[in-house]
Amino acid sequence: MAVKRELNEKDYQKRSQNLIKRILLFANLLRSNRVPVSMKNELDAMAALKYVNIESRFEFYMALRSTMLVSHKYFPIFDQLFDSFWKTEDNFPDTCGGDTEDQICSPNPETDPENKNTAQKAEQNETGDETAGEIMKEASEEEDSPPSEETPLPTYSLSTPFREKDFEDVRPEELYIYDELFKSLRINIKEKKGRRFKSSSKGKIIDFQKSIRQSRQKGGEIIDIYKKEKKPKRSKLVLLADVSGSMDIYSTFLIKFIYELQKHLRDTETFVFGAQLKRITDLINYRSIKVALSLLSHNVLFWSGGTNLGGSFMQFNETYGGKLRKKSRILVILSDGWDKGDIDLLKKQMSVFKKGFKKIIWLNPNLKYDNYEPLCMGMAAAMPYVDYFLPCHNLKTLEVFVELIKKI
Amino acid sequence: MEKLLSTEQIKRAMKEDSYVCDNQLAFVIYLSLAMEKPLLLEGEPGVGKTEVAKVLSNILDRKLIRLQCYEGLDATSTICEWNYAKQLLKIKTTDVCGQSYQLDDIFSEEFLIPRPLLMALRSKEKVVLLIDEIDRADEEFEAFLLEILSDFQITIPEMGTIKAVNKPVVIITSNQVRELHDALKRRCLYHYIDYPSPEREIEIIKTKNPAINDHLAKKISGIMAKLRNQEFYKRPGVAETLDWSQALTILEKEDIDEELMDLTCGCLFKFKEDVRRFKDMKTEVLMGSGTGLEG
Repeated sequence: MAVKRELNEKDYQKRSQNLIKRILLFANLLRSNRVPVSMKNELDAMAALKYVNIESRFEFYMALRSTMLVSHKYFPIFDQLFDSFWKTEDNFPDTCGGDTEDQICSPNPETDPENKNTAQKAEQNETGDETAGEIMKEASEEEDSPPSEETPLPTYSLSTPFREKDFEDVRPEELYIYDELFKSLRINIKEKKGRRFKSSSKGKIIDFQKSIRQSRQKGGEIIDIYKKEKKPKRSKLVLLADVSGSMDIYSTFLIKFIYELQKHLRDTETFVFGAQLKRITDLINYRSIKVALSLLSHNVLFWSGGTNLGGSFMQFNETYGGKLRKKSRILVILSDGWDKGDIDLLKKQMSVFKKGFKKIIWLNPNLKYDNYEPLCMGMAAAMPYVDYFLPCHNLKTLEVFVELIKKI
Repeated sequence: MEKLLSTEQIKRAMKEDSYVCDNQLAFVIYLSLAMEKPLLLEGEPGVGKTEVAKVLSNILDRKLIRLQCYEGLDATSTICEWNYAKQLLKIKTTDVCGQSYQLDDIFSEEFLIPRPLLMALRSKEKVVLLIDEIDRADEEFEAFLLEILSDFQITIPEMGTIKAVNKPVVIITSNQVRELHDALKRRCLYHYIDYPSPEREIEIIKTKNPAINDHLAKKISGIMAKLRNQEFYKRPGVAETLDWSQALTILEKEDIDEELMDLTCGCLFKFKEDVRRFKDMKTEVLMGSGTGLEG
């Protein structure tokens, strides 16, 4: 289905070069919106255009989408950017790529105007106002220019005081340092070896049983020597995070922490609760924390509301409990224990947790006060069932928690 | 070289083979055939990912070679194995007969048992290679596949590099149990198969189950659309829809009522908690389910 055009050779070449440049600009736009597009993807996209009718918007769209994206998570943002970038000329307004004010689309206010400019320039390019070379040059100049002077890079010496700083006292302008610090948490848990064996080609111990058993097929000659190693024992986590009003100061940080946890630990299941419970495992499964956060704010409607510990836990047990309550899993609850619900119900649910999970860890930011005692009703009721009761008000305490789950 | 099918032709041919696919899917298939690139299909379980490969092998009239992935799957069991028993027999018989033999003799074609990947590459005729549920296999295996997916060749220590005689059409499916590596994704075209729209679901039900009446098909698709909006541990896919519609046809029912939903809920949900939630909400779901299309 090659495209047939009645154009002279020179004109045709110029047009196709323009198209290539626009595709590169579009890929840049995607990247600046945190959609991972590699060079290979770009080349594939151009190769794909050989086989489609680029005058058909649908075919052009599908060709770019299927070659450039690697996950359906990026479909919505791709659609948005595609629509604004590849507008047809007759209904093309002044701005391009900039009229999308959604948070997902412009995670960084600094990069947004830049997107506008590049897109605008690209459009001028189509109409032939500027030479393509100039556009590329200017675009690259813009990218090269330093983002801003007032954002110093975090250094190691800085991080020590920040590690012990209470999340409550963190100023908004210091938030970006925490993004880096959370990344550097050593969550990558080395898998503990269990007592059972599994066959493995890399193992160091010879599996005599298997070697002899297999040799029987071959007339009793041992030809292959099979090896085995200890089977890794994985602790999987189930996280229940409180996002009610009383946890407001901490929930932003804790969600970031949870995001990192889920990124590194396979099979972690995450839920948030307040007045009710919601599974957010899929929502925060994004490569970019900003996309994850904005998705959360769209989808979790009970943020900063009241708390109903018992009710939320019951909802968990009824809906997901049968599948997730296992002795191989550790339950982690992040909450301050302020509860407006039924205390008996809470006790009952906690006892169900206690029977079902390997261990229960409760992270409570209020534990930072030396004389803190779990007096509020919810916390007092839950205490007897909790195996580990830890603070979580700064980075250092979270590190302690990470070390703990490595050991359990 | 055989003639390339257009998007419309693919769509029509698949419809004839009772697979109702939308424009997007048909186009991605067209593109993957044209560019000779592997196609990675992701989607919830039961939306018909594996079926695509089966139907494709039918309409292209090519043999389907299927590699089902599982945890612990390794390279040797997917490329080739030596037929040890035969090799030993050969050694013993030559010994008995007093003949001498070269070591190379027993590592020849005669003693090689080809496994799916080697079969696909060496096949004289063109084939469709389905690598099913790749997310179940280990990451090492994923890395091993990279060479095949980009260059259509594999390297076996004893035999050297084997290049594909005919580039196979490769379809890879994933249920998103885990995130696949970028390197693998980059080598493929990507498409996500979503749950079908109510209109298309009706078409699917009718295609797969011609005996069903219009009213019932409409009602089923309405109920399914409603159920998929709810929080379930495992939402029912198209496979469940088809099971259910088939069950209703066997029971010779003309309409769906609450009692029938209770009896047949095993077709739709496979988890205890889900079944209970479904039973709790069945009245609500049933109400106005016939209007699934208008709503």
